[in-house]
Parts: sequence; structure tokens; C-alpha cells
Amino acid sequence: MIIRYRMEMSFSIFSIGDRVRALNIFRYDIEESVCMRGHDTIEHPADMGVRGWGTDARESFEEVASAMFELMVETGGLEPLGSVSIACDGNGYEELLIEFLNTLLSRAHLEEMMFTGVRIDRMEQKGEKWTVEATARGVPRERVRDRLLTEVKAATYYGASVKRIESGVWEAQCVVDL
Amino acid sequence: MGRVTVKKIHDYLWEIPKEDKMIVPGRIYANAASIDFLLEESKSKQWDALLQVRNVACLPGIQKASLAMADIHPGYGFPIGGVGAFDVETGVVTIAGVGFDINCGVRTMVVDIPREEIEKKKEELADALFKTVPAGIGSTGSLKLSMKEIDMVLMKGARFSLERGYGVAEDLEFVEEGGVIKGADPSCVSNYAKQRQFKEVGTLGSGNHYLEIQYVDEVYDERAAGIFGIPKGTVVVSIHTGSRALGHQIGTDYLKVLRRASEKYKIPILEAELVAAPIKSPEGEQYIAAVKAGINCAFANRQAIGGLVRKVFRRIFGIDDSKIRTMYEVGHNNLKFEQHEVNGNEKMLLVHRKGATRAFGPGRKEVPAPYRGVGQPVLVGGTMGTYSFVLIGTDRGMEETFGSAVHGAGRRKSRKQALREYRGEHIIADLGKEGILIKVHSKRGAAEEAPGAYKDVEQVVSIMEGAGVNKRVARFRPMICVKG
Repeated sequence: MIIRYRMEMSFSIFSIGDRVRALNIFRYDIEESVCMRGHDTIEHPADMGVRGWGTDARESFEEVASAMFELMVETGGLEPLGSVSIACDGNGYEELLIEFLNTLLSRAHLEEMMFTGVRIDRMEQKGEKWTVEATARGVPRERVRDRLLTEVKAATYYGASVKRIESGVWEAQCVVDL
Repeated sequence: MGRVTVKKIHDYLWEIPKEDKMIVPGRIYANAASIDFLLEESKSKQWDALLQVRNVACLPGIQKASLAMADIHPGYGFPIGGVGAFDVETGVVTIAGVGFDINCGVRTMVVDIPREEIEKKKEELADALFKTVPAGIGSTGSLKLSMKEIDMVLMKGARFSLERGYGVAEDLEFVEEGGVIKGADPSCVSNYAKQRQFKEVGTLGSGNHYLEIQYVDEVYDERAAGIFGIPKGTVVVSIHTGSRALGHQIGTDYLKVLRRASEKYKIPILEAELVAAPIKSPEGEQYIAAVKAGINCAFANRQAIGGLVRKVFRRIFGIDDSKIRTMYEVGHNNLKFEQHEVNGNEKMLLVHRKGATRAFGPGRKEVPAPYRGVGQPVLVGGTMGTYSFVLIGTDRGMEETFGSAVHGAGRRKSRKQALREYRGEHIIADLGKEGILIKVHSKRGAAEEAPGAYKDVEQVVSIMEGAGVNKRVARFRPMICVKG
């Protein structure tokens, strides 16, 4: 418990690199169940990168979706008022990630919503193909007009990766076209 | 050391020599300082516009050279500022050469009202434009359409908006392609894309899109400026936007299609976004027909916004619509079938311009007849606080760049860095002191688009002029800027 507490403290203060280093330090003491997940943005010369991490690919996908929608709307303190289901597929993790993010963008636009959180209900592989089913929760766009920030046109393959990094943490990232 | 080496051709042109899998060399319009910046960026091995130039040079059927204009910066597969022309028989079409904002471009309209009169009613005009022209995320246009009518937008382009009462018939002569490109096929566009668009025709969008009231601050070529009707002091309106959600969705839909096509036709994927299909393949033909639908959508969008701008001027200044004349409209994220000379032979090519503008020299039939003697106007957007430029194409540009030009300043600082360094309210206040009225829906957007976050547009233009590829005609200074 002490280790877990110390780690959570460090997560709130440091960048992902520091967090991963912290994880490496404490790795031998960490239980699989320790919940560590989060997201941030990455520098890109013209647009913006988004990154999410978690204990598995599913969590890293959920987090990177949060990072993307936080570019579009100030989500802090927003209570979701509705939800929509989405499904998509892709050959391999990277294609699945880009399809997942672009499906969320399209659905949010079509439903005139801003998503405040996404939960992946199912992620599975059949042969080459991966599929995802998820529930996106959010608020009507009109309700948050004063909180809107920048439009994201699309998630791109530039800088896209989904991988389990050394510490056992899964990280998903890509650049979005603004 | 970066992954790409360059050699100097002359002070404004650098070459990535043909090596390995490259079919043609890469050529970058840059000066010593900007090529150093790109080489330094290349060392990062993360964002590398020069590597993208080299990768494009490896695509089947590419002709002469993989080109980058002086506003080059890293894009997705293609660099922004990239131009690639492909033989229609042996070449490919790639989504990376068009991007997600199909036919994003600029329309400039000349306003027959003295600048002093505009200054007197500047606040009122800015407020009215801000209220009348929908901008920002998810804004909806005044054109209410059914799904069936969306297909008409994709077929008719600017003419659709004109028939709905937006603008005047004379506009179309001065829009690239006469405001409608042939070969658009709405059946190649997903219903999803159409559903996303039917409320968005006539909207500006967000990010770097803008509507500006500007005046001609400097004239460099009196003859061309005279022909274009933009003598010093003239007030103009410039509209920078594209095909909105429809273009985004076409890009998203075909990204997957062309990934599969790359595998099917064994086209090497050198960067994940640089996926392609042979021009003469079912996938390639469908994508081209969809892009053309996107091109028409952008034409319709700018025509509708032009109509809204006229409405505002009519109300505030009591002027007739004919007092606002379209000077020119040109896109900078496009695919075009064009005839060019390659090794002494005239060939039909498919030219991709990603963040690059068509800039035809004198005599080309595609240039509106009244302008044909001097060349096609090129509209280069600046930043909120700096200048925009009108250039013209040259004969040398036709030989070297398939008649292409820069499209804007190009970013110098990332959006993240801009957000760290600037505050939207300070940018607005500072520009206000310089007489530039800013109206934004998102103050964060104003910080991201701060003039300091962009390269010096004058330098970018001077590189192209130094190379003899484009020529300056006039410079515009903003008075009012409306952004999403």
C-alpha cells in the first residue's frame, strides 16, 4: 500500500517518462491489479499528438480517446448526459486505434455530442482482424458551446503506435489533424 | 545526423539526390536558414519533412521530382507544402497528397468601398460578420439541405450555392475550375460523410480557417495588380476554409480503402499514411471521384460564405452585391489532372498539391481569360497579425514545379508551444493596438494561431520569388479577422 501511494503521488507530478521510470523502480513490488492509467498530448510541429496509457491495450485506447476529446472541449467537471455505442475493426492494433478514434470523431459529430469518456466493452482478435465495441458518454454540443476549443479533423497514422512498453504499461498514441 | 542528405542547387533550391528506391530526386525550395531548420528537425527522427519528400519520390509513376514549396513542414505521408505529379498510366493516387481538408483554399473578393469608410464602421462590421458567418466547432450553416440535395452540392459545386441565392453569376468565372470540377461522383462518398455535411455548407470551421477584411498595403507588380483590380488601398475580403466534415470523412473512409489497395497492388508503404492505389484501378478511380465531390463541396462552401459576406455589407453599407467582386478563388489541398511538359513531351499528369497552391503561368487555358496575359493569381494566407500575399505563376514555375506555389506561412512553433507562450486575450489585445480587430469563438484558438507561432510569410514568399517560381503582385494587411 505504501508503494502504491508513493507511485500515485509521483504520477500526479511527473511526466510519462518519469512515471515509467518510477514504475521500473517499483516494478518488482507492483501487483497486476494496481490501477495506473492516464493521458496527455505530444508536441507536433503543426498539429498535436495524443497519448494514453494503461494496464492493457483497452485502457490505453480509452485514455487516448479522452486526450483527443480534451483538445475539442474543456471536459473538467462535465457530467455525461447520454451515451452512444460504437463498433469498428482493423487489421492490427494500429489500424484499430485509428479506426476507433475516427469512428468516435464521426459519431460525436453526427450525434452533435462531445464525449467526456469512453468505455471499451469488448476488444477481441479474430485472425488478423481486431474488433472493438465501446460506449461513449457525453453531453450535447450545444450545452457546452462556451467550452468548445479546437476541431479535430481526423486521427492519422503519423506517429501512431500501440505497444506494451518495458514497464508493462500499454501505451497508445497518434497525431491528430487539427 | 538526419536520415536525409541534401545538396544545394542554388540559394533557394536544394536537392535530395536520387538514391535507393527513389524514382526521382526530391527538391525543396528553401534558403540556408530554413534548410538548416529542416535538417535539424530531421535529426529528431520523430517529425521529418525531408524524409517525407524522399518517401514521396519512391511512389510509382512520379514525374520529374518530389517537390516541397518554401512553407514545407511535416505532414502525414506528404509534407505540407508538398507537390507530386504522377503519370496517369503508370502512376498512383495517394491520400497523403490531399489530406483531410479537401480543396481547403482561399477566396478573395474586392470591395468597392474606401478603406476610410470601412474604418468608421469597423466594430459594427466585425460584429456582424462574426454573427452572420457560422464558425467554430459544430457550427451549422444557413443552407438547410436534405440528403438528396447534398448530392447536388457534390455535383454542382459553387453553382449550387449560387442557385440558392448566394453570390452572383460573375463569381464563377474567377473560381478555379469555374467553381465545379468534372468527374465528381456522389456515389463514391459514404452516406456517413453526407450525413455529417448537410448542416455544414456555408460554415467557416475552426483552426487556421478565417474570414478577413484586409486592404492592399503594397503593390509589387502594377500591371498584374491593375488587371486583378487591386491597386494600393483597395479593401478586400479573404475567406479561408474547405470542404468541412465531408472532406474529413472522405479522408477517413478512404484511408482504409487505400491501405488495402497498397497491399493488393504491392505498393510499398514507406509511411503509414502514404498509402496509394494505381490511378487506373477501381480503388484509385473511386477515390479520385470522391475527392472531386469534396472539391465541389468546398467550392459550394466558399460561394455560400461569399454570399453571407455580401449580405453583411449590404446591410451595413447599403451597397449592391455587384460592388463586391470575386478576384479569385484557389484551393491548396487538391488533386488535378493537368497537362505538363515532361522531357520535352506533353503528358497528362495527376498532380497532388498538399498545402500547396496551383500557380499557372501566363497563357494557360485554365486561367480566367482576363488574367491569362499575366498568369494565375495565387492567394497566400498569412497570420492574424501579418500579411497575406497575391502572387502569380511564372513560366519557370511551370517547368520546375508543375505550376505550384506556397499556400501560407507554415508553422514555426507547435500548437502546444504556442499555448505555453501566448494567451488568446493578450494576442487579441495586442493586435487591437495595431488596428487589427480579432473576433474568435475560442481564445485558445487565438493563442494557437498567434502570429509568432508561424514562420515569416514574407521570407517564405521571397524564397519562391528568389527561385523565379512565383512572383509577388500585392500584399494585404488585415483589418478584421474572424476565426472559429
